[in-house]
Amino acid sequence: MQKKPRKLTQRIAKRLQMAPEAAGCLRITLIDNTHAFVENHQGVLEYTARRVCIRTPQMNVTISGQGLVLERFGREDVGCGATSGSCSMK
Amino acid sequence: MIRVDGLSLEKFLNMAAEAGVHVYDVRRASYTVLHAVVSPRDLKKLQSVATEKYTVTVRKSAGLAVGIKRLLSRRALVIGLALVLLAAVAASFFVWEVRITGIDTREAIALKDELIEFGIYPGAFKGNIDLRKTETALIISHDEFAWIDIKFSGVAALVTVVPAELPPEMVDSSRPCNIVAKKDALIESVTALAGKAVVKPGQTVRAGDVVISGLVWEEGFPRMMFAARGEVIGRVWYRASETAPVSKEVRVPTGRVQTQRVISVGADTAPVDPPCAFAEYDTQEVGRYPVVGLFLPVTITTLEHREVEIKTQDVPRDLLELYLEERAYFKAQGYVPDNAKIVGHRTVFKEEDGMLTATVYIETHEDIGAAVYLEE
Repeated sequence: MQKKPRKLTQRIAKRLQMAPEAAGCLRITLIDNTHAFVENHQGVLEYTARRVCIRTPQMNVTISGQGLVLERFGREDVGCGATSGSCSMK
Repeated sequence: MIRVDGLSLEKFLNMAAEAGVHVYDVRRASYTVLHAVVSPRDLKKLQSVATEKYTVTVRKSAGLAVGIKRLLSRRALVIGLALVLLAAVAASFFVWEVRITGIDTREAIALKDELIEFGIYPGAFKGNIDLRKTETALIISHDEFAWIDIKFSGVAALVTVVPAELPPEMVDSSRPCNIVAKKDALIESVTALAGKAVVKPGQTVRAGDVVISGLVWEEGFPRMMFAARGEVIGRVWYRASETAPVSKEVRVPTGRVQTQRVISVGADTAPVDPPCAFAEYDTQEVGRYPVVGLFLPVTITTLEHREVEIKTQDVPRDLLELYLEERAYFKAQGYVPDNAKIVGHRTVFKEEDGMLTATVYIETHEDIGAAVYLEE
């Protein structure tokens, strides 16, 4: 299987033993099935109470659930939580 | 909290993020409406970056900055708060309570009176009080106190006293003296170490009687005076009495009940229903309801009067005797000195005019001797 090419910044970060997220890599933190925290995003593509789609350098992250709230939305990070029910991610 | 109206609200969020605005608690109300929370500083930034496609309106202002702004607009309240704060600070410069620990209440009251002379009293200005000087003066003037500490804790002056263990009274062995009885007693034993015992076991003595003489003067011998020493153990009785009635009144319910409503306005009350018709009754509150509203002090209280019959009932004799004996014993025990040894007690009961009296006699063995110097 052919190895997927990596970005230059990621390779430098690996060589310098830096934290990947410092080099702009996507970092997703999940707390149970009620909270998701996405760092190094590139904006929100879609936001409804049932679905949040976040664009990142590597992929698009989709969070599905009920009563979704953007608890925090900044230039680099998004905090998403479900006020009722739970959320899942793909 | 803001409300944003417009199409493609995701774009608006991305624009806000690009402008460095942090948006919190974003909720999509509908396809074209979004609610969010931003700081006052970010709100100005957001309004400047929002294009004409979006309408940003402030729905509710909250937070510390808004609270302070609202408070500052109410000048009288601010002045009132400042005055209260000022009064609290000013009050903290004075002593409002003097608290004494380590000694009994009687001594504490006497010490409080003495502290007034040193300027320590409720209402005194703390700046005029020299604590160290007061402590030193009190320790010097009171031999019964080993140590005194005075400190301020808020508006209270805390005085901690450590009582001193006073040394036993020293007898000057170079001065001739007699040993006399301190109290009335029946002599149990006499051990004369110096001097001549003038009493024998079984003999009764009154307070002040000589028990070991320091003056020995017998016919044909020269008069000798020396410091008498020895131990005189006497049997001493301490008595205390307690009285209680042999019968008591009990309130027996007859079963008849009458309810009455009373209206209360603050501390004043007035009956709504006619007064209770029973001669003797016990009253119990069974309900209380506000009349006008929760904030006005007008209530209607429902009282339940239960008729009772007053009967006289004898108290069980053995229980009463036990109760009185115990109380009298503890009362008598309070009179017994620390160095005395309790060897027994006796109780006498006497009933007179419906009252039972228990008298307890506690018998002790104690050293009753005290040195009294002889005069030339």
